[in-house]
Amino acid sequence: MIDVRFFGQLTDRTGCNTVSLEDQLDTDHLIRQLNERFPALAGAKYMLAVDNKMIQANTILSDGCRVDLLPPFSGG
Amino acid sequence: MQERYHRQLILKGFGTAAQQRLADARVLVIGAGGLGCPIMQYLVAAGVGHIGIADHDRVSLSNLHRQVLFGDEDIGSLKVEVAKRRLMALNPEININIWPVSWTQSHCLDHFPTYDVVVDATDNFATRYLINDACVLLQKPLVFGAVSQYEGQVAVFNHLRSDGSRSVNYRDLFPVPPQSGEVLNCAEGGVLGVLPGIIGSMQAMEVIKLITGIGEPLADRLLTYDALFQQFLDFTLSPHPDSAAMTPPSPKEYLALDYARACSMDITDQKETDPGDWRQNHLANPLVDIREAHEQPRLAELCASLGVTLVEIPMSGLHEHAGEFSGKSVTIICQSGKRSLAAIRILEQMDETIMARSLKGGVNALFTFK
Repeated sequence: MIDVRFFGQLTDRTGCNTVSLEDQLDTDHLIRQLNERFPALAGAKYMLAVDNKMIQANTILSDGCRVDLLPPFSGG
Repeated sequence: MQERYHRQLILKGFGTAAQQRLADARVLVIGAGGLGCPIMQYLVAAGVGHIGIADHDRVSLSNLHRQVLFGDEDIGSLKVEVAKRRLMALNPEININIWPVSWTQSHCLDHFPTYDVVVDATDNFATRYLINDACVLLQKPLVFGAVSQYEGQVAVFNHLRSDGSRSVNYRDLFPVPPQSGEVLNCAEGGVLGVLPGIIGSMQAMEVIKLITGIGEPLADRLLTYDALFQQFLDFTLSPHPDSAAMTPPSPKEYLALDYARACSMDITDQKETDPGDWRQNHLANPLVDIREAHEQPRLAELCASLGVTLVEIPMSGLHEHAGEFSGKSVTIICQSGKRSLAAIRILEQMDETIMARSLKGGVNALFTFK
């Protein structure tokens, strides 16, 4: 099981703060699944972190991993 | 040293040497808003010798719930002028320089070299990227803070590591600026006043740490805060492969960049309709309200009186319903006209035959339109 958290206004696109997904091989696979489940998420800008580490390339996921989608904030 | 700083002077690991470093330091705070107010107050109170403040804006009533340096009687006055007056009253030993201007690339190149630390307390992506890129170019440490609704982010960018290299910067997190409409600012999305108070205070803390050398700076890390659940999360950052390519390598290339344009979206005016134009030309098309169910006022009454077909679909459900608008002209509305711009792009990506327009200014503009 992979726990996914959505931050900021990404939750407006998903309608939820968290989601748990089974059978996820890697982050590319996970993102495809998320985009299918939450079509409004496709095209949104965010940084991806696996177990609190920012990633820039496809990353292998193992059971129990936590994936966070962090959008940029502009407010001040 | 003085009684004023006694409580921090007696701190283990602080002392007169750290206090002297604060007195000798020059810090530039860009943005005198929700983040800027607590940053300036704490830096001045702590004895940072020279503070520069830049903000073109004037105090308005809707600022006061979070910009706690200002009062009712300041409405209409320049923020930097009021801030300077209040801060001088707080600590007359401090030197304060103010710029009542919109901060530009030239300002960065002219003034960053004379400061030790730059603080990003702005409220828009164009200025955030403009400041970040200049700090990379001029090798200045940048204390970043940003808020959105109930959440905040803090980081120290471009900090000099012990091996002589610099810590990651904003381009490593988000190499390309988001387009206008993609992310809401405080005016559109709202913000609880305490939140920038918390994030700004943490920025002030990082500035004091950078100057005095105490502790470890929040470099190569992003701290996020969620006020609703009182949750802090700490993310480890790493360089992004696209970051360097996206950052202008020289002052000449830096000055040539159009940041305002890079952060606005490629949507022509024809895709926006203002309330007057909408009432004249688009009442025959369905009006799609993409706001969440709790957002007020609702539009059923108005649409019934104008004979407009109202469709209520929150942004998150837009994709499922895109098919219903295939080949049709629709007007999209949200609270302020920002999300509706993003919604147009979503619909167009899904189905090229949808002719979507965004109602400029959203529900806010609709109800002020007479």
